[in-house]
Amino acid sequence: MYQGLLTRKYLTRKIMPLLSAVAVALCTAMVLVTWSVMGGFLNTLLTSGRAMMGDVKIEVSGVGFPYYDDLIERLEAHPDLVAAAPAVEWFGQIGLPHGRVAQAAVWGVDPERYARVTHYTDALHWRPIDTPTRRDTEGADPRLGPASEYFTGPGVRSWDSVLQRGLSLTAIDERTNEPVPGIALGIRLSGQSRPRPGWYEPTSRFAEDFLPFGGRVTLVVLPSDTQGRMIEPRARIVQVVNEIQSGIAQVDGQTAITRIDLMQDLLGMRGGERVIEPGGFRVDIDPVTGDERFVAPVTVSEPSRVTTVFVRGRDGLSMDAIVEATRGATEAFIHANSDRPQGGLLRYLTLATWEEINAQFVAAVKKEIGLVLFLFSFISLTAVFLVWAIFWSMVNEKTKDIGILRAIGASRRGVAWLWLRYALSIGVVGSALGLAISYLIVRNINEIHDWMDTALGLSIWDPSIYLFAKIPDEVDPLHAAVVGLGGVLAAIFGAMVPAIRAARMDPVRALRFE
Amino acid sequence: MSEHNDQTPILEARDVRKTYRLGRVDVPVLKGASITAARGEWLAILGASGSGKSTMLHLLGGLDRPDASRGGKKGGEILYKGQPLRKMGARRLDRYRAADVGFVFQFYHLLPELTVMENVLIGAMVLHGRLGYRKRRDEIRARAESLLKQVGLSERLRHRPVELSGGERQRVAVARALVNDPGVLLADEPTGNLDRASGGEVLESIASMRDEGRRTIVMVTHDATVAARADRVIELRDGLVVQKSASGGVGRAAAV
Ligand SMILES: Nc1ncnc2c1ncn2[C@@H]1O[C@H](COP(=O)(O)OP(=O)(O)O)[C@@H](O)[C@H]1O
Ligand SMILES: [Mg+2]
Repeated sequence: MYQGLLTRKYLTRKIMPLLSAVAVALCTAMVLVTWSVMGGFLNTLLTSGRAMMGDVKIEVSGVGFPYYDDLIERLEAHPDLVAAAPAVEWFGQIGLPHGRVAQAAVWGVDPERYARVTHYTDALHWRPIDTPTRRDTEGADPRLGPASEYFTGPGVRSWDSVLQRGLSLTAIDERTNEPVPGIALGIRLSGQSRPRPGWYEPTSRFAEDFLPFGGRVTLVVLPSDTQGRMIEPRARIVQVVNEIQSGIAQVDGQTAITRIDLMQDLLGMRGGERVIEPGGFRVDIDPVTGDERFVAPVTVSEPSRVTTVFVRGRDGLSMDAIVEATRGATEAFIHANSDRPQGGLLRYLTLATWEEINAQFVAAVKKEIGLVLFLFSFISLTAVFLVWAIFWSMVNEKTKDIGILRAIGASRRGVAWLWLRYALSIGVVGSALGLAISYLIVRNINEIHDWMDTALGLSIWDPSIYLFAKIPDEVDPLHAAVVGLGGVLAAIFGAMVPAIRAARMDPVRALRFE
Repeated sequence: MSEHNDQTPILEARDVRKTYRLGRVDVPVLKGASITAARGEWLAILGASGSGKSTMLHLLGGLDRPDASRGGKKGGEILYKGQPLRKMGARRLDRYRAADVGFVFQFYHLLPELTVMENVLIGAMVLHGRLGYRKRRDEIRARAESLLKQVGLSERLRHRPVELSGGERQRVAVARALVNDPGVLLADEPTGNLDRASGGEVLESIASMRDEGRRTIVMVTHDATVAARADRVIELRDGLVVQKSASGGVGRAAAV
């Protein structure tokens, strides 16, 4: 009772407790900011690792595998799996204007099916928007103006039709007016959008041939045959129909996405009749009868192949369940098709989850978070020691009060509780302050970073090092609760020894204390 | 308590010894001092500075204990209503200080952060704890107000000790000592730090708290004129108590 009264009075009339509250606040803020940013970093990493590939990837890299439509049918028939999409993953060169060349991962996809498995739709950059983008400091985002200002080609009337071109990966050829395959480049691939560390700058100074607005690139790939031998390089000029801003630096900087049929054509993965006996029709002479007869050329019917099938599971389902379902469908598929032509390739099918594909990086980041948290918690012992030191001196200063309280009947336990309660209040106040500070910092961390960038030329967050353009700015309430509790405990812990000392004080000496 | 009757002294020190240890040297301060305070009596203990008056008062108030008995030397006993304090547990002793005795010190010893009113109330808070205090809140506040009125401070309830004069502070201390209505008031040189006029007012306040002779007052002082206010004066000298006067008074005290 009297502890509460005194705590209130001490708190409002002294500077020392304020100092210890600030110490607690700073330490909790430091730990929570780190945890939120690093934890958010991991989370963003995880979810964006999934964004462009779905949950599970089934593949035979290189030669690819046939009968994938049957596989997709089986996968989509499973109640736990939502969608599956075929893809050809390859490496290639993109010939850019002015003779520049970029190396890129080139994915051939069926855009509609790919969009059902991944966040492809959200990743397309050129689309209708009505508010300026974050970081659009000049308000010069071209997407805010009319699309017709930039597009003159057929079939483009609005930003919506630009988005549609990206979603179909199809352009209209200007001369023939026929639909032709288009390509969507990672937004930083062309080097035309002048990225600064931290963001994709709105492109206000377009070159004549700014690629996303109907520009053309040369796609060059090196195909291999079913035995893995290299064949002649194949090239095709394709129109750029959109750009991809996924937030994953690897995708945005080094990936181009085009139509699956184009890639199958270029890489010889498109099936069909193939002549294996060369020479066309010829005349054969029967060695026994000597009769002449026509012989038809020998042809085989080859199935189309893809390297990859992406699979998406039902939302909220565990990864194990999704893998289980995928594995079951895949095994049934292999069983049913392995005896067909080229069915032997199905033996090489592998299955990996997005977590496994990112495993090394995820593990590294998780370790890093653990390490940073450990270090910061260790640093937070500073708070404990600060509270300790401050309480030690406050107990000293209040020695006489302790003697008085004992003289009017306060027990040792009551005196100890006075200081612990005091520490509790300081811990609560400090922690609350710390949580508020860290909430403000984390929520505004991108603005703070931008400000540091422009005002001080300090850019800590480099998206070419980290995977994302934006620093994570979410505070997990559970983390906040844990850190807040930690702050309170640190304060109580720091006050423990001084409180015991106060309780053990000889009241007579305390009263005589000058 | 059952063996207690009106003839039993309310507070008694029996052959009390108290030795302080300074480094390796034992400094005996009390060497077998005995005091008996009857119920309702105002007893003054007169003694020179350093004679052990405060020590004696601390022992009487249960803030300190007499020497432990070692070998043939007995440490002596403090008895409250015939009960030795030595036998009380820590809890009972805390309660004894909270409810049965009240302290007034030479240097007031108010809590500087609290107001006058809070300084008085805190004694009741300590005694009753949160729940008990809540239950008796109104009653306790009324008592505190009436005590402060009695010492002439009803206009100063919200003031803090720094805003009061020494005499006023000491009168707050008197009110605080009595908030739980203890049977015994222990006053350690209550006027020692005050000029004659303020000291007189404090003595008036103390006198007014005798509660028709039901409250016992044990007051120590080095000032014979102050001691003269008491019913009876004893003297502490060389660690022993010397009887001075059966009914107090300067003249008679000086005559011995
Ligand atoms: N904690 C202590 N350690 C050593 N000596 C002490 C201690 N407390 C008091 N003394 C000594 O005991 C003697 C009596 O002190 P005290 O009871 O305060 O006397 P008084 O109140 O009569 O002036 C003094 O000589 C003082 O120095
Ligand atoms: Mg003294």
